[in-house]
Amino acid sequence: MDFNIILTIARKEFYEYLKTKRLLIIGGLYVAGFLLSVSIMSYYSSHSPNDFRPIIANAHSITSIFYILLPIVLSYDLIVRERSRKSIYLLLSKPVNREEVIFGKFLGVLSIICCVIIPIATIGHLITMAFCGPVGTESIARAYAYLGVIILGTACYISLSILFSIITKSTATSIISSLIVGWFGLNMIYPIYLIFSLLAGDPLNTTPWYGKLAYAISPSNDMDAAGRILSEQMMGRQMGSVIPITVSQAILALVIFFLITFAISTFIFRKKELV
Amino acid sequence: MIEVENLRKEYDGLIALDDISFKVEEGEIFAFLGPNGAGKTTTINIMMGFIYPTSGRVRIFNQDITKNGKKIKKRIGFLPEELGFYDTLTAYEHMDFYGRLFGMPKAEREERILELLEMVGLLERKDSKLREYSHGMKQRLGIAQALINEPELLILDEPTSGLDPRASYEVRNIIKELGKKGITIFLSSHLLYEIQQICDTAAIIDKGKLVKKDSIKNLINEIKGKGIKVRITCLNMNDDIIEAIRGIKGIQEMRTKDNKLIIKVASDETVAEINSAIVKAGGKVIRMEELVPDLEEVFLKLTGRE
Repeated sequence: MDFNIILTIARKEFYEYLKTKRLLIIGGLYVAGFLLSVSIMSYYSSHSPNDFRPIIANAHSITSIFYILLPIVLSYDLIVRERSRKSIYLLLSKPVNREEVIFGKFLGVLSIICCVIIPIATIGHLITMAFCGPVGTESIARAYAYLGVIILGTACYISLSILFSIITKSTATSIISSLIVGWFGLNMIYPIYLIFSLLAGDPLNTTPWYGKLAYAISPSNDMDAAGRILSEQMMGRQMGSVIPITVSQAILALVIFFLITFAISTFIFRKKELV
Repeated sequence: MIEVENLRKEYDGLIALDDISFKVEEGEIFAFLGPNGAGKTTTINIMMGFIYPTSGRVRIFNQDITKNGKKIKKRIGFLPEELGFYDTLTAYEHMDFYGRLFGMPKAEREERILELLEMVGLLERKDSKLREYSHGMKQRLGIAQALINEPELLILDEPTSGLDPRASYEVRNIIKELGKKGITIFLSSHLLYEIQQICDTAAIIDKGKLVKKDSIKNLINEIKGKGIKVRITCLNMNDDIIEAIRGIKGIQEMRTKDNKLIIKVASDETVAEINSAIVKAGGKVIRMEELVPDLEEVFLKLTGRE
């Protein structure tokens, strides 16, 4: 694979996305939601540096829906649209491997997500510090480490959407499939497991490996679990004790999810007949 | 330069290509001719690596397209039948993107883009977004992008499809000029007039099968056969004239319409005899012209649609 080609494709995707309304709408909602929640929580906090981590963790938790929506909405049509507008033929008539196309497109979307999330998170950190006072380097490092996990989580959703954009024949089917599987389907597996284990009378204080797997299979759950990097107590999710996986298990699950979906995407796209 | 060997493609049991083989030599302007649905685009899609053959293979520059696609494509320019561009990018941005994919350095890329956009008459509109382009302008940009890498082989799939007569004429001229520069051109089209004007050699494909491959001249000569076809326009056309001509030896076939006679004869001498016979029967020849068969006739005959 030629990294220059990957970067060329990523660069093109990046600049194309800067001109799209969906980035403006979903990105704008995320920015407003994150900054507003950080500002409100900081204003009503005890104005102590100890509030920094919970405020940032909760702000991410409140806006966590965007960590699913943003990658899906930006990448559901990456391949299917190239096919429907026939631009795929010009692209693949150049000395470009199909794997390079997938990598390039993936990088393009990931970089635009990073360009939205990282600066806004940084502004959020600064707002919180403006109210709560300066915080230690460990808190800052943890805040960015969690941001790294969030970006890994968005990479999982991008990869999943790319997979659907390869296997589906229309943009509508691709976004519906991505949302149903990514947002709803994967998140339903653990509650279904809980219902069955309750009906079976299993003890709730321990979770077997398949219960952990049912939880970890959703990148959204993994991002929540990794939230403990920042704070054990997150608004709306004060259930750290019932999160069945550790932070490192959550990160590992995200990495595995990404690798598997990405490998399947590239394999299918390589074999796919473009007619 | 291009070797297609026993190419076969099936879609769900339907045979799109049935054991097609042909070669395209370096410097040739090669026409790939066939009616819509004959298998032209399927062949091109396999040649470009967009789809995979059920059996057989395509070799370009002595390399297998399925194994060395990337290397081969560095030396190819391609214009698909249905052009798809990115609406939010300008013509210049498109050309720049494609130039980058070929790994062209910035200075070389800029120079080449401006040169090509000028060649296709789009230099003044280089900063317009593609959504503002007409079909003809997009087609010309399609040709420009196909030339960004100074290709040794140009594959054009229906390059004048959907263009108005003026735009078609312009595109044909561009292709002719490229042919003169020594670029090997593989031109797929169903427009016989276009092919007759541009190409040296033609392969005719129909229902997934290769019907014939030869030089355009030979194809025409073959259908022309040994006889000569003439159209005679005469005054005072009457039954005596027709009877007199029928009596001449060497008349292979004859048709009449109004004051015109279309006659196929064995030799030039017979034509002279016809002239005399018409005059003797009271007619007056006002025009006599040889009818040379065109590619359309060749095509119709070879594909059994005559």
